[in-house]
Order: sequence, then structure tokens, then C-alpha cells
Amino acid sequence: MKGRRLLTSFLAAVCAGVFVLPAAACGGGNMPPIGDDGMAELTYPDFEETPSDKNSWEYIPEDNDMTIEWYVDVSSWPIPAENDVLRKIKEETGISIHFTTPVQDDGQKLATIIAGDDLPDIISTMTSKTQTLASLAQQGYVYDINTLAEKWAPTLFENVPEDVMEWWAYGNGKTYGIPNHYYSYEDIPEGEQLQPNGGMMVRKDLFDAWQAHAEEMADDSGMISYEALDGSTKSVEWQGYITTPEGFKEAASWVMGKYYGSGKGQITTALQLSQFTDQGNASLEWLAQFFAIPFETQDGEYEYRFTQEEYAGMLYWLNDLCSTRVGGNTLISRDNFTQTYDGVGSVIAGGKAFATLATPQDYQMHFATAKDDGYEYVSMYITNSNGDAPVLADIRGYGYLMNMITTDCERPDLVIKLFDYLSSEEGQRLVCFGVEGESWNWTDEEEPKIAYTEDYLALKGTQGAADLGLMTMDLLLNYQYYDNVQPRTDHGKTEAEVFRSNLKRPLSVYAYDYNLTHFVVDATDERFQEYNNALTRINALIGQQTTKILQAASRSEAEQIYQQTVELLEKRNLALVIELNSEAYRATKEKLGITVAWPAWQEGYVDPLDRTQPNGDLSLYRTY
Amino acid sequence: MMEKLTDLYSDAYHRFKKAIFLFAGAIVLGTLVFAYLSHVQIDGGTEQVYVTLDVLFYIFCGLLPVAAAGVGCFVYVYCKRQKVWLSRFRKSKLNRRVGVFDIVLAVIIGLFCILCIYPIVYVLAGSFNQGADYSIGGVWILPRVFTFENYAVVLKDTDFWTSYGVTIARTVLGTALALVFTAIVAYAMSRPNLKFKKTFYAINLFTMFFSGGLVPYFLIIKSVGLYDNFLVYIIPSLYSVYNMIVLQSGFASISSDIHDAALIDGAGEFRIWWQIYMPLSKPVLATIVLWLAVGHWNSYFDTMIYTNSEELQSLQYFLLKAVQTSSMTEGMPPEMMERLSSQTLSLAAIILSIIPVFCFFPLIRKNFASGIMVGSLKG
Amino acid sequence: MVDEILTRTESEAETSDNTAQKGDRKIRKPWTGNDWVLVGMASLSVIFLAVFAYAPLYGLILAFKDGDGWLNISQAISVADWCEFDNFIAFFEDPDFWDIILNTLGLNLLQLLINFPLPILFAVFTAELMSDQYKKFVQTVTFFPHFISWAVYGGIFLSLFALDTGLPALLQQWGLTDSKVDILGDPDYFWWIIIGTSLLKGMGWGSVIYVAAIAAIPQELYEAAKMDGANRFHKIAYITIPSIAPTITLFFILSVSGLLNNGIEHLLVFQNTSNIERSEVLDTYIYKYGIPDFRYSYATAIGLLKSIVSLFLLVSGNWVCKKISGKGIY
Repeated sequence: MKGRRLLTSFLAAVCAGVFVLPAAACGGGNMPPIGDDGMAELTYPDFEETPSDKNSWEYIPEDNDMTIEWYVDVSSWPIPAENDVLRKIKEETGISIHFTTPVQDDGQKLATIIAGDDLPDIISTMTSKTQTLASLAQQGYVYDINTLAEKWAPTLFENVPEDVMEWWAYGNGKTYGIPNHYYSYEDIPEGEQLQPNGGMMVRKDLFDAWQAHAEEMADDSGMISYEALDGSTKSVEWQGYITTPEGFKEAASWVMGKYYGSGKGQITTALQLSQFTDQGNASLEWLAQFFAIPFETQDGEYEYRFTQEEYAGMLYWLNDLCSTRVGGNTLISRDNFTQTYDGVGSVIAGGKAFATLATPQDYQMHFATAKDDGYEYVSMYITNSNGDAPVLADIRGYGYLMNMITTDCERPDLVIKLFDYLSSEEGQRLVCFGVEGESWNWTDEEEPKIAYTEDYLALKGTQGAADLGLMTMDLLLNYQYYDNVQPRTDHGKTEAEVFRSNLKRPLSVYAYDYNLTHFVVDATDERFQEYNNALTRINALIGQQTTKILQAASRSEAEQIYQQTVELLEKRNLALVIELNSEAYRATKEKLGITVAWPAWQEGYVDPLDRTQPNGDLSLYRTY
Repeated sequence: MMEKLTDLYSDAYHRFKKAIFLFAGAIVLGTLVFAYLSHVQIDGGTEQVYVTLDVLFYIFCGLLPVAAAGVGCFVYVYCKRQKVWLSRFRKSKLNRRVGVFDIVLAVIIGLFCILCIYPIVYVLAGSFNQGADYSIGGVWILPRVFTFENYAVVLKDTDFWTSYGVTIARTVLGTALALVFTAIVAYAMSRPNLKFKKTFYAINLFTMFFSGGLVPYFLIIKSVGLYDNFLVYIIPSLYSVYNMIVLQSGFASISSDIHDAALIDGAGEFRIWWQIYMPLSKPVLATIVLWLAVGHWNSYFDTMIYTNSEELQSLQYFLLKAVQTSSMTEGMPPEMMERLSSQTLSLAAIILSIIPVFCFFPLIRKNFASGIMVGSLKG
Repeated sequence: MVDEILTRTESEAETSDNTAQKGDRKIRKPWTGNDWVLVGMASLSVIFLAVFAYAPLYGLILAFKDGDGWLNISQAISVADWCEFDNFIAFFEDPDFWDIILNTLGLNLLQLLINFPLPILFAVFTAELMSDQYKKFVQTVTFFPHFISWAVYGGIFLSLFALDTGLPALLQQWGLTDSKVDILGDPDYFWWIIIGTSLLKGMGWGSVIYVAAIAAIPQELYEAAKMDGANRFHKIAYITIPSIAPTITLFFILSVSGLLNNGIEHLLVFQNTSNIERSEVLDTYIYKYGIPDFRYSYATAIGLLKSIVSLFLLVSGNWVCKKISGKGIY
């Protein structure tokens, strides 16, 4: 009996441990009070404010020596090794940076960091993760940039473009981070049109072969007549026949009939789409832009993509390509539906697709490999059956990673100065081109303003260049600035690099500002969590159903599945998603002061369509 | 006297056999390698490299007849020695006749082995292939554009060697300590006379199914001071219920008579466990060691979640990292892409990480055939 | 649930104690030094589990709280409102609920039927090989695939089954199929892909415990059987299999309790939007809609459901085994 009692007390002690430990672990579970604006009320440390008479980072004490933790929540962001750029940053600001990244993108590292009260000084998250960004701000984990800058880095407002700051502001007018890889209105030279974000590419040799064939089909006046999708008869310049949906289908069938096979130089698919994921397919968005499907209604209200009639029409056209067989093979290979990123890449790299709608920059290595093997791809466009000019989204996105200063940061006054320094012209030159005098010099000529040193050009592409650190610290990169001042001669770029940067540039004539479609839904709204849950499930459903619609055996079957899908979407609370999206859309329009957002409906819109140039404006190719 | 002579003779014969086969094997292998290398495209290969390879290929071709002569010589001696050498193929050690079944079995298992070796061949081929070319696909058995660059990239990092050290340390220490800890518990659990046995089992089994989730676990790790500490690799993996059950089943199958006899001799339970049960349970212990060691060797998750400093990176974590930064996600900005290379790096990383495992495996298997049974269950 | 096990084990304790030490319970002998040593040894596990398994269990509270959307789980646990069974109900009401359950159970039962016995047969027949060197070779080589991650290993099959460039195109070319068989996209094939690939990758590794068990069977048994004129199949049926039967039972019970677990890495490689209706299982569902969306409460609730069912399976599996063979884990 004595033994039993002893054992019982032992077990009781263990149980007590079980309850005490979590309580100890949970210690930091208090949360800051929520203010009237729905955001956590932040308290700021009590450091002396910095005047604005000179650059804020010049106020950093000479003897400052600190190391900050910078967590980048993307597994594939390459952590830079110790290099000259980082040494220069240390020299200028006294701050050394210790970077960490997760090895998996499943969100677990971030979850433990936050729960463990183990916040780094800076967190960088992908701008596409809007919920994470909003929650970090709302639940009081990050400082707002406006207040920090007002107190300790007034010059930051001059260095970070206003439109970029504005863009990311929440309902209370405050911005909680600074993005990288942004293209600001302020920096875009007048008259320059940005590249589109997506694009269509076609294998040049097959394209030329078809064009020769099309020229023979043309009548005396150089026109080709054809039966349009709506049953009417239309005609178009022979060069542009391939840019109509009807003509593209004919070209695809012709090419498939002549070049299908698994041998060298032969193709296995006429139109290659991106990888199908449960978030949908990027190619469908690019095609919708080529088909000029507006993202708002005539009276300026938000319109949901999938339920649009034109969008359904586009899906049916794709279904037609998926079900039309030439010699037993469909124009869009069924392989496409199960391919991974690598699978799509190998089709492109092997030149096995006649045309592709896969995001060109995601596969630029593959396009370059194909070119090396003799299968060059060039850009092309396609229009809807009505003949409206494509309205493509340009790459002006507001960033790729968002950099936020956490409330655990002990010296936000110094870190914001670091942000200021990196965003300034001096910092940008350092980040983009390395240390002045070492890898580049500033020239007084009009353009270009940067000239690489002989040393750098000799080292480029070798191990030695890594230590110079160009472009490794791209976390606050203003890409348009880089583009404006980068060397245009003696640029040290290889032919392949120039080719890659030119991939879709000819399509710039059809590219417009699409930023309104990336509106930020207010995370402080009480319906937000429900909205977000519905949205994830809706996107997954659309991802699944789209593959079914495209693979349907006939048009009527495709229509039936589409109808079913719309019904299912309604069951999954599509109404709520549309409601919140519409509100956010309206609010964003107000903020930007825009009434008509769809480019083709704006005043002063000039139809740029030129059917005689099916590849876009090839004169836009750059040599650097 | 006669026996001694045969022994001597046989000794010399075996040395002769070994030398001949080593020599012939090296020559054949060399010829094949250089036959391949002199015909494949080499990434960044200069004229000089190609010429050197051609020369080497011809040298090995020239050596082939020499090797053939050596093997012929051996076959001659072998025949003389065995006289009726064909009989060797018919009989095994147990003097059983080789039947159809044996051949069919050997062939089927052989085919399965090929299926198992193939992935390694595939990974090897990819790891020596140039990245951009690999993306076209179709590298199945041999590299198309040969390069050492993938290995160079992984190996040149000093962190690589640090992480190798960390992983070896944690594997050795972690496996040894976990084995002892688990075995202590398993022994007690295997004894029929353990008090509160059912309660102990209930406490153990419950945890196989219910866990509080990653974050609460992380908070516990942190509050007991294991965060960013080398011991985080050792202590949390000291014990696993699954291994305990397997081990206790091994202990339970040892006859109680041995235990009782030792008890009568005055040995305590602890001594019986260590001096009798442990040595008798080698096969189970070997299996558990294999599981534990491979688990330690392959783990990266704990490095990612529970550590923060570079000195604590484990090998798999390092390799995954090297691979991640060269892989990419769709939707990255175009400027970003220019700095990223290809998937071949990951293949080189895999090869580098599994070499030590297969050096260590034969040590484990030696213990399988000794001692007693695994897996007795309690009646 | 816990109570149920405890009472169950309690009642079993009585029966087993009776067989082990007859009459012991009535007399209540005082504890000997060795009893203390044994209890001390077993208590090590209790201390370990108290810290690393029981202490984190407070996280399960989250399943009953409205904690979705909180970044900090500790905060969600302490501050969020109770919501009773809302998280569970939300899962039951998910339109995909029945598909997910069907897939989880179907796939795992198939695995239990096919992938559980085959490694045993493999170990048994490898032991029958005549050459020791060949045996060693086989037992080493079949481990290779275990060390290659699913992402890479699966990648081989993705290129092998690619419609235009892989096996389906070849089969059509050779006239074996009328049209290209869409192995990767057709939901009907998904389970079989998983079964097949996990066999290829895991059979060697999975057989290691049986290899060890067979190696430990005393050779004298076989020699004696040979004297009695037993042939090879007699030996397998009457010596090898019965000798390793306890091992088989043990791992069978453990497998049954793992009936709801799927290797996520494996499934995600072969899962795509075309076969999702047959490829979505509990684990992939939690992985995709749990942590990335900060739906901690929802994920915890589903995990808790899984745990309860698994525990039930273990208890009943053990019960069935005891009924049939008279032996169980406890």
C-alpha cells in the first residue's frame, strides 16, 4: 500500500508538471488593445525624434554596432553570403543583418515564430498573402511605417514613392510595410509603356511556316474571310488571321497535322497552358486579358471573373481546342492537365509546343534552352472574336515581398533609418549595382548614368562576382529605378540574358495598369474570416471544375458542367466573396480617384490593334 | 601435413582470384566509363579535355585483352582445381538441388532489385547533368551534358561540412541514448510482474494518437530550454512508444526461465536487463538502431523549427536549403529568376547524403542473424 | 474516450494478472526491491511523455474555440471565445466531407490489404534464396528507394506516365491500348498509383523487421523438418510463418491504428486538379486548409477527430487479435 501511495504522489507531481509547463509557456498570451480603427493600438519606444534637415541614416551614432534578425518567409529566397554590399550597409549604418528563411512554404515556421514570442526585427512576407499581412498589422505584430518614419526617418517619405506607400495603406491610412520589386508611377519615364505580366509565345519556325501558308490562302486584297464563332462572315488581313480565335484554331490544326510527333523538332501540343493547381491556372487569366474581358461592369462596379458570360465563352473556346482532334490528338494535349511545373517546362524547353500561354518569365530558362537548341519562341497576341484589342495587365505590381518592422524590434528608430537608407537613391545604387568605384561609376553623360567598371565586367559570371553582391539584397528594390539608370552599353549581359528580358516586350503596346484588380480586402471587417474561408474553398472548386469544363467531350457537356459549377459556387457563399470584393473595389477606386477603371472604356483610349503585326511591336526589343 | 598444404594452396588461390577479379573489374569499368565520357557532350569541355578522354579510352581498350587473358587464366586454374566444376552450380551448401523454383525466385527478386536500383541510377544521371539541359527531360540513364558543377556548388560551402558534423554527432549520440532509454522502459514493460502495468500501457498508448499540435509542442521545447540548443536533437527523440512496443515484444519472447534463474542467482532487474536481455536481443536492437539512425540522418524539420543558428544546421536541412534556393515558385518576379538555377542540384545533394548510410548499413545487418526473436506478444 | 480505455485495460489487467501471478492480487505481497526498480524503469516513460506528449495537449482546447484567424496560438487559446462543436460541424458540413472520408478509408484499407502482407512475403521469399551473397545484395539494394524523397521519386513516375512522352504514348504506339491512357489524370487510377509506388519504394524497407525476425529462427528447426521429409513450402508454412506470426500480429495492430494516416508528401506529388475527387484525404485537406490560412481551430478539430477514431481502431484491432490468436499488444 505504501508503494501505491508513493506512486500516486509521484504521478500527481508529474500531472502538476503537465499543467504548470503550458501555463509557463503560454505566458505571453496577452494581446494589445484594439483601437477604433480596428487595428491594434501600438506603443512606440521613447527615443529622441530625428529632424529632417539631413538624411535620417546620417543621424545614426558613429559607434552603432548591432545585428538584426531579418526573416524572409519564402523558402526560395536566396540568403546572400557575406559580401561587399552587406559590408557597405554595415559601414554606413552600423547594422549587420542576419537572415533566415524557412525550408518549406507551409507556414509552420511563421506560426511557431509568432506563437513563441520569438519575432525577428523584420519580417518579409509575400505580398500575395494578404491575410497574413493584414493579420500581422491588425493583431499588433508590426509597426506602421508612417509613424516610425515621422518620428525617426522623415526623409523616408521622399525616398519611397508616395503611390507605393498609399497603395498598401489600410482603412486607417497607415502603411505597415514597404514592398520590394515595385514599379512606381513616379519613376516610369514619360511615354514608356511597361511590359505585360503574362504573354503568349509561339515557336518562330512553325509560325513562319503557317504565315507562308496563310499568305497563299489570302485573296487579292490580302484578306482572309472566315466564319466567325457567332456564325457571321468576317475578314481580316492574312498576317493577322492567326490572332483571331477562329484563325488560331485553324493554324493550330494545320500545324498539328504537319508537325505532330515525338521526334526532334516535332510538337506534341498546339497550345501549352500553365500548370493546373488548386488555385486555378495562370494561363486562363492571361487569355482573359487577351480576350479583353473587362474586370468591371459598365457602371463601374466590380465584376467576378468566373461568372462572366465572356469568361464562360472563353472556357468553351478552350474546350473546343481540347476536344478538337487532328489525327487522333487534341490541339491542347490532355497531358497538360496533369503536368507539374517541371513537366510544362520540359515541353517548352524541348520546343514541343506550337504556342504557349504559360507565364513567360516563369519559364525564361526553358525558353532560353529551347532557343539554344534552335527552337526560338517569339511573342504573339490573340484577340476575341469581336476583334477588340487585347487589354493586358502590365507588370507594375506593387511588389513581391512586403518588409515589416516588428513590435519586438528593440531599435525601430534605427531599423527605419536602415529602410530609409536602402530606399534612397544611394541605397538603391548600392543594392542594384554594388559599391561605387568597385563595380560601377556614375557618369555625367545623359544616358546611361551607371557605367560598370572593367573589373566587374571581367568578373561577371564567375565566382568572384558573388562577393561584389550585386542584386543580392533585393528586399527593398525599386525596380523601375534600376531600369532607368542601368547601363545600356557595356552592360555585361549575355545574349541569353538579353533574350530573356525581351521575351514579351513587343506586347507592351497592349499593356495597361491593372492594379485595381489587386485591391486589398479590409481584414478588420468582422466577416473577413468567413470571407477568407469561403474564398479558399471557392478557388479550389474553380480550379477543379475548370479542368472538367476544358476536358468535356462536347460543348453542351462543358456548358452543363459550367452551370453546375456556378450553382456549387453559390452554395459555397460566393455572394459574400463578391460582396466584400465589391466593397474593397469601390473603396480602392475612391482612394485612387478613378471612376472608370477598364482601360478600353477610359477617355482618350486609342485602339492599338494592328493585325499586320501579329507578334506585337517587334521594334520594342532592347539590346540591353 | 596435407591439410596445411591445401590450406596454403587455397590461400594463394583466393588471393589470385581476388586480384584477377579486381583488375579485370577495374579495366572493364574504366573502359565503360571512358567509352561514355569520350562520346558525351561535356559542359564547358575544351578540345583538350575531349582529347584526353579519347586517349584514356584507347588506353583502357588496349588493356581489355590483358584483363581477358587474366580471367581466362583464372578459369583454366579453376577448372583444373574443381575438375567437375559444373556441379558447383547444381548444389548449394545444404546440398540441395537447384530447382526451377529457385531460378524463378531469383529472377523475380532480381527484377525487383533492378526496379529499386533504377531510381539511384536516375538520380546519379541527373546529378551529373547540366541544369538547363536537364529541364528538357529525357535524362533516364546516362547524363546527356556531363558536368561536375552540381557537386561543386553543394560541396564548396563550408556550412556543408559543419552540417555534416552536426548530423553525424546527433545520429551517433541520439541513436545510442534513445536506444538505451527506450530499452530500459521496454524491459520494464515486458515484465509480467511489473506493477501498474496496465496504467503504464494506457499512459503510453494514449500519446500515440493524441498530440497537441506543432505550436504547443514548440512552446514546451522552448520553455524547457531546448530551443536553439544541440540537445533538441537528442532529448525529444529519446523515446518513442512505437519503438518501445517493438522492443518490449522482443524482450518478452525471451524465456522467463532465464530471468528467474538470474533472479535466484541474486541479480537485480537492472543487471538482468543489461547483462542478459540486451545481449540476447540483438536483432530487435539492430532494427531499432536502423530506424533511429536513419530517422536522425534524414531529419530536417527539427532544425527548421527548433533552431536558429547556423552552427546547428543538420545535413538534410542544409541540402534542402541548397535545393530550395535553386528551385523556384511560379509567380516570382522576372528579375529574381535570373539568379536561380536548376533541379539537378537537389539530385547531387541526395547522392551526397546517402553515401554514408550505405557504408554503415552492413554493420547493422551483421546483428540480424544472431540472438532471438522479435515480436512476441503478451498472451 | 480516455476513461473507456482505462476501464478496458483495468478489466484486462485482472485477467492477465491472474495468469501471470496466480493469487497475487488477493494476498497483496509487499513490494520487493525489484518491483521498485521495474516501476522506476517504466516511470521514465511517464516523465518523458508528461513533458513532451501530455503537456502540449492543452493545444487541443483550440478545437473547441473560435480561434481561426489568430496568428498567435497561445492568444487564441487563452482569449478566443468558446464555440463548442462548431469546428467539427463545419467539417461535417463541408461539401467534400464524404469524399474525403471515403478516400481516406478506401486508400488505407487497400494499403492494409496489399502493402501490409507483401513485405512479409518478400522477406520470406528472400530468405529462400540460395546464395547468401545474393541475399545480402537484395536486402541492401531494396533499401535504396527509401532514401530518395517522394518529390524526386514521384518525379520519375510523373515523367514515366506523361501522356505524350511516356508510357501511355508507347502503349498506344504498340497497339496495346486504343487511346492514350491518362494514368495521372483519371481519378480511378489514383489509388493504384499510390499503392504501386509505395510498394516499389517501401517494400524493402518495410520488410526489414521481418528479415530480422526470420534471421533469428534457429536453423535446427529447418534441419529437423528436413529430416522429416518436409519440402520448401512445408517449411515456410510450418516453420517460418508461425515463427514470425507474433511479429506480424504486432505490426498488423499498429497498422490498423494508423488507418487514417497518409504520407502527405507522397500524395501531394501525384495529386492534381483532375484526380482530386479521389486523391483528397484527411491529411492533405488539413495541410492545405489548416495552417496556411491560420485556421488553427479547424485543423485541430479535424486532427482530434482523427485521433479518436485511430484510438478506437487500435483498441478494436487489439481486441479482435486477442479473440483470434489470444495475443495482443496489451
